Amino acid sequence: MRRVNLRKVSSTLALVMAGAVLAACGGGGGGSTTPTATSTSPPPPPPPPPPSATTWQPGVFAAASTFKDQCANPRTGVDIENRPFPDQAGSLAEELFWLRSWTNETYLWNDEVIDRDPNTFNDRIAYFDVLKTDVIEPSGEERDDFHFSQTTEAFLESRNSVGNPGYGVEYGILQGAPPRDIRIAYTEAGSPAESLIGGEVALSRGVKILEINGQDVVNGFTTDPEIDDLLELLFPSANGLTRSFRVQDIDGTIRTFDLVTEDIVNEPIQSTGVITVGADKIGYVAFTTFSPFASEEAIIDAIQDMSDQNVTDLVLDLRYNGGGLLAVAAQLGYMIAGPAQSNGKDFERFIYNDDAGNRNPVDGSLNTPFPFINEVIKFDDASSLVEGAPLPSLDLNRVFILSTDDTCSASEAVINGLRGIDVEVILIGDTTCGKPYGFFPTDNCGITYYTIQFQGANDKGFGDFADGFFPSNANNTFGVSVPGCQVADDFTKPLGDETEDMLAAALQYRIDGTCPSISTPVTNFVASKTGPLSIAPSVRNERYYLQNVRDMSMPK
Amino acid sequence: MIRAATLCIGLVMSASCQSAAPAAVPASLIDGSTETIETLKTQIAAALGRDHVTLGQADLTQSSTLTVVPPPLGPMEKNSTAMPIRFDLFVEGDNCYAINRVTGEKTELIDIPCRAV
Repeated sequence: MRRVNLRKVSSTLALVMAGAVLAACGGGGGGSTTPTATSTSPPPPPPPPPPSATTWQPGVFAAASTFKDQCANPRTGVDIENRPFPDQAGSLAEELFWLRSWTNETYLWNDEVIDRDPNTFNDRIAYFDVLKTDVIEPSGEERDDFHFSQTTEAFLESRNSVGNPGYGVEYGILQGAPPRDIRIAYTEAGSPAESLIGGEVALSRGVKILEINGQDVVNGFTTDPEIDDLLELLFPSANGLTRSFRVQDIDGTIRTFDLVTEDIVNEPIQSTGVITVGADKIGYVAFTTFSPFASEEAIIDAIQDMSDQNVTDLVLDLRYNGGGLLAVAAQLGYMIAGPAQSNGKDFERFIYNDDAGNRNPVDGSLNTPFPFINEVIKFDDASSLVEGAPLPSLDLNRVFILSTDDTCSASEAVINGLRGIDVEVILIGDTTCGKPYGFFPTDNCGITYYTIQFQGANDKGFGDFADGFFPSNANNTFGVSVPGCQVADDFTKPLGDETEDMLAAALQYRIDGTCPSISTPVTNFVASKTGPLSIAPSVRNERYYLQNVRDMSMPK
Repeated sequence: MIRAATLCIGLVMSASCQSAAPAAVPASLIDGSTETIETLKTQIAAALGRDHVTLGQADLTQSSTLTVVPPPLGPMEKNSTAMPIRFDLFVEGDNCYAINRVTGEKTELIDIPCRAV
């Protein structure tokens, strides 16, 4: 209703302004030389119509709300969340002008977008694709490589999916193109991957996938349609599918077996433990996602356990953690640092575009930083947590963080947030993905658009880590150097094993501040239903694209 | 503490606007029927300027805290600022209200009877 009124207001304003313009010019056709009514001359041509809302005037932007939900093909009924579609009859031009104004109002780098005439475009996605900065960073990377869209139907389906069909594995893609090397990074407890076959666990960390359903995963699947087939085999889309596997264990043993797909529950905590070195107790927590609401309870429980065991150091394994809820990241930051170091400090500040002032330009709310959160939020209403209950804390002044290029977004916010209050972060592994940015997915007329709208910064105001954080002994030209050691992911050992290369390096560094000799960095694209996959970079079908950008790290 | 402070703000604001206002006390719903909950959702959504909200799982005939849960994260939302929004329910005379715990905004709930807890 309000949007209709805005349109009317806009139209009325246009008429009033047109009238004012006409009045200022002396009326609509009158004048001292105007022929008399008896003249036989043909009437003068009518004046040009006033600029309409969808007439492009460079640098002049109507409010995005003027065009919101004015659709060339309005949807009717309700969406899968039972919300009525807000669409009203409109036009492609209005959709394009909404994109233009919305970008101008909310895009982080709005002053770097070339203002192109929307009326020269006949496709909303094509227009959206150019509504971004073209700046190339000194590293050679695009400043904005996270700009994308998808159908709102697909967006809603993905976030409301009840089922999560799969085998219960996270893949590590050591080589995406043939000859492929696809390993198991970890498995989910109780999943088909952990079923016992011939007295042996079917799939475990380090196992290499050779064939699925008799098809050669290593050297086959070379055309685009075949790669689609491979994706379906790796990421099954339904439950109850029987797939035959041929795999190679770490010791070279070849095995074959069948697995049946089923709904998978992703557990945020993969492994925890306490390592005793002399009188010291070192906690280890492998935390793989901040995304499900259950991640809050999982990480609180893990830190509580570390606190109960009086750990004096912590190795936080974020090597496969692509991010999620910043609030849970802020809780984790508090639980590591404790009140003395974090009280009154910001975990993450939000930087919007220069025109936003002290407001979030997306919803108009005050721009309020996230503090280090010291109490239970209770995201999961069904959890046993008590809202507002104080969180445990380890009160550490340093933390070892295990990282790969899949360590992204909210995970990087933990690194940056702790560095912002001078908690020493020691980075063991590889360069993080470099995503200090965020967005608010926004639907208009059936497309959900993702455009970068904020950058996160820590209590010191620092947030420039678009090229990632890297261990200080790595030979990186760009990025933010953090004390620590470059170490390749070690697929030959279980997570949490003291001899696994990354954890072992952390333990060594803790003792004497030295690193093991640099092992060859492995391009460690971790892939799963929630991770990126580098199969063939040239492929850009929708499914491939979505699977690759799921943690926002792949489009780099 | 935040909750108590917000409730106080709401109550002070309420008292300042009404002379001899009846005492306001924490409340829960009398009727937890689907129809009442739908009415409640509509009014809370309007208070938040939204088309639709999803409420938490608490039994609002027993609890005086109403939670609006954020939608689950999409698979590409890895830097999400999502947070639940909480309201405190209270009754003042014959009227039932919800106070936004963050903003302190007070919303009268129409045709939603509640009782003191």
